[in-house]
Amino acid sequence: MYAAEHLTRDRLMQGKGLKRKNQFHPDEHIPASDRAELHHYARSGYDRGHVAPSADMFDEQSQHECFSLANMVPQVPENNRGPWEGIESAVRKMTEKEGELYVVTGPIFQGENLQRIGGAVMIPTRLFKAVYNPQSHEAGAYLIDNAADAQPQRVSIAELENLTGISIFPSVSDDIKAKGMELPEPKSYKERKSQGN
Amino acid sequence: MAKESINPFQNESETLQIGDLTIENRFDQVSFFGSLDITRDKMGLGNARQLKGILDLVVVKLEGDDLPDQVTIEPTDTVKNPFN
Repeated sequence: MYAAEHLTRDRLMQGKGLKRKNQFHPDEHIPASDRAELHHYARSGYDRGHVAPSADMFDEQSQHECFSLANMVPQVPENNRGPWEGIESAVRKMTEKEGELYVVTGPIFQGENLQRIGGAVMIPTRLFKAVYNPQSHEAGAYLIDNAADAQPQRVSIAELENLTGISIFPSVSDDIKAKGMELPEPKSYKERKSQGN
Repeated sequence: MAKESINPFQNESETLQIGDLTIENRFDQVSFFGSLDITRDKMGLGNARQLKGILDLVVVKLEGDDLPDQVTIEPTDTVKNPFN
């Protein structure tokens, strides 16, 4: 399970100033027996962490859809609001610089056992955000533990595919996937502000 | 225009942005995270009023409740990893 986005500079511009009030909601397209409900997350201590971030959205419909629980994973709050937000922001900044990027984001579930909230929703052990730049034909990914004190790692798509068992960017060549790319270092909100961006 | 607000602790769905500050409504908490500059201008006043409106509702709700010392978090349960 993952979210795939085609981010462009124009769409990011278009998305600024979208409506400020939104509703988290269960995804009615998924059978009731399989979908996450709001009450699963209630009193869990976990954030409803967006897989595709709200700040990437470009119109009212995409903004509404991105608050579907199908786009959420239980995320440690310090992670969601800290380093993960830094990764999301770094990818938007890179889109503004490069013009367009293909982005695939998803949870990773590793280990023999997993923890669940609400008796239903499994907590990912890690999260990834993979990026393909169609101009420079380069690809790479951020990888981070779903933990409060986690630091993002930067890996190649080949390494990420090995880890997840998912084919990410199926039409991108193995050479590009193996090579990796220089992804910008994620910066905190405070660091970005103090640098005037 | 009436400022958008939330109904604190009454649902798990409402979320608001004021500048880069995110507000999320939960049954056991109202989360404020991100960052907001209250600038000394008309927009700053609008943002300050909106934030105050929300916090006033939070305080009224809490004052009217029979509060525990601390909220309780539902424990997680453990399942076999189905993705292996």
